[in-house]
Amino acid sequence: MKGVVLMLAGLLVGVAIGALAFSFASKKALPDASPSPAAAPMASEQQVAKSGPAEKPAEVDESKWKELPGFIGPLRPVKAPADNPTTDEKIELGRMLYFDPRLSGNGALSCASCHNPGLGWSDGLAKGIGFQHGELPRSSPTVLNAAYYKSQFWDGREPTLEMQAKGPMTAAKEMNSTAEKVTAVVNSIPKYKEMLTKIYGEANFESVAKAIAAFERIVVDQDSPFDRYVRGDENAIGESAKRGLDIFTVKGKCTSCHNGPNFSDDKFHNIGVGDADRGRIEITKKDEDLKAFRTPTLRNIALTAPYMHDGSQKTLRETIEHYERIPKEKEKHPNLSALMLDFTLTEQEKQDLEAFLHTLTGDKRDPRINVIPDLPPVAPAK
Amino acid sequence: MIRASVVPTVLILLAGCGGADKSLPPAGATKPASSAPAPQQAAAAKPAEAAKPVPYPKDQGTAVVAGKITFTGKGEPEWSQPIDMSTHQDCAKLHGDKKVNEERLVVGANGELANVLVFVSQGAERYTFQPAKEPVALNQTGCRYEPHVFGVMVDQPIKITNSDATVHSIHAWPKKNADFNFTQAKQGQVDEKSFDTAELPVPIRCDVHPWMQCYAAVFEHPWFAVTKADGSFEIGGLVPGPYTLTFWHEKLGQQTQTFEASAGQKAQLSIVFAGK
Repeated sequence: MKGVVLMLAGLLVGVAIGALAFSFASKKALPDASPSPAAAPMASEQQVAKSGPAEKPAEVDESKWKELPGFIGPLRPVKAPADNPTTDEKIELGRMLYFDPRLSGNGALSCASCHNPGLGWSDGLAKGIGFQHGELPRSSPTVLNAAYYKSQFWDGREPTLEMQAKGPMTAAKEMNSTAEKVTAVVNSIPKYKEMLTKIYGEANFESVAKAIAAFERIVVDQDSPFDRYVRGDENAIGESAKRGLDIFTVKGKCTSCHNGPNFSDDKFHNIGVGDADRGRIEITKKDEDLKAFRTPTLRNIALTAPYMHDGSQKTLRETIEHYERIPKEKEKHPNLSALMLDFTLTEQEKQDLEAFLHTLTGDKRDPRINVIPDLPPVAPAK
Repeated sequence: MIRASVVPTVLILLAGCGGADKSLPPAGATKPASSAPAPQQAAAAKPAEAAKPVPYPKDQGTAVVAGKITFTGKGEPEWSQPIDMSTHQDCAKLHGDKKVNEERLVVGANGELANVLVFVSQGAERYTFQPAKEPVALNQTGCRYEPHVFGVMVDQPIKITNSDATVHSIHAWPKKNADFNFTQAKQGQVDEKSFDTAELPVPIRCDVHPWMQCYAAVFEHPWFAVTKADGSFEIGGLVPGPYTLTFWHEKLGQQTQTFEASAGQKAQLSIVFAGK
């Protein structure tokens, strides 16, 4: 205890000395200047030093973070839309709805059927299995970090998680329900009716989608070995992964599309995947979107094999070799993205790149997403 | 002990501004610089009379401030070392054997410091300005950005050109403005973008070529400049009165200097960024 007090005292003295030295430097440096200079890189540190025992947690000092190409690095908190701010109550409700198969047309499928927490919030399959075991046209994207996308679905056809949540519930090949049926179901379950009405003022398809979206906004990974490395822990990732990071950002040119804190540019590219799916052109009707699909996040990529919108690449290695091969056969792929750039890696470099991709697996999730909820009963028959 | 290691950083970032030219009158607002150097300081030191801004009286804009910025220290080697383009032959072949250096610190033989953004940080709030219509040019040439640092007014178009026979992906990373990110796959391709909110700095990077980065700074007024290779800058059209200039460098931090602008006069400032 004594030691801690001494350390704290020492720190305070240190701060005081720092402040003295600072003002001296300012005075000397700027004899005629009125305001003290405030160098941008110092601002957050001063705020931390000044804040003391404030209610709000001290601001993160990002000035110490490694600055990497494409600004890959730690994520900021998820932003919820103004009309659906995240609350504990919504999370609890949304979590039940997410796991509830009664929202589907045959009572057999829930969101979790294809976006299973135990399978990287996806399904481990090349293509999802939908209503009455039918194969779906595309691979089920992970829900993890979907909250960070600027649009949802492989083709970006919906802008928000709220809009997204409605899609699978009512798609004939997926959960095959209807807005009316979902509204009827939640009104037949007293707890849903009560919570939805209390939170959203109405128990219907709209409010169900909002609650599911609120839950999905905590299904995010914001901390991984890679993030700790960027924040300054040199031992957070191994030497091979460090080399892999360099290959990722430079030689492999991966940050051409997988950039920003969520490793996605939120754009749509034709990367030469060979199936007949026409992709985003079906939404935009623009030629440039022929066979273009949204750049997926690479966070948790080691958990979400197989890869690509058709699940055609079974492993990370196969996927890397896809990117290596396609630019060399450009003529076979009309409308191939200009960002499919040629590179060739050695065996060691491929291993290093894979090692780096494994450091993107999150390991400090919100504990509330690791709970499979008890589902509320329907009202007893009168 | 922990703090002790931080102090030198402060000194490097902020110390070492040469005095103003002797011919200048003493600085207008003279709040001593000894109080806590919090970021809010600038706001607190603003003149008390928060008068409503008036339209910029162009006919009174006869004062000029000019000067020269020098750097007396040493930068980190990686701020100016030759760029390794070997992984990107599309760019390497544009230069042959010629080396292209990083431009995070560009210093002349006598310490002339280029790429310092100089702007009026106090004084412009007295006026309102029309956005400039003439676009600011941002060129991608030789897999470099030209210019490396530039100012632009709110809503002023930025004309972005790809002069290279390769693909560039121009990605702006603002915090206050809407971001933009688009690909220019064809040589000669031109696109126009703009920002609608004042912000400094806005990093712009190429997603394809990891060394390519530049900075935009967005202002509500036109009183900004970037130092040339000889370290010089000049800002004209000032209405007589007291001003504060801020000098921002991407690696060396920023400092400020007050001065009084007089009708028809050119104020001369000499600024030093000190390094290690």
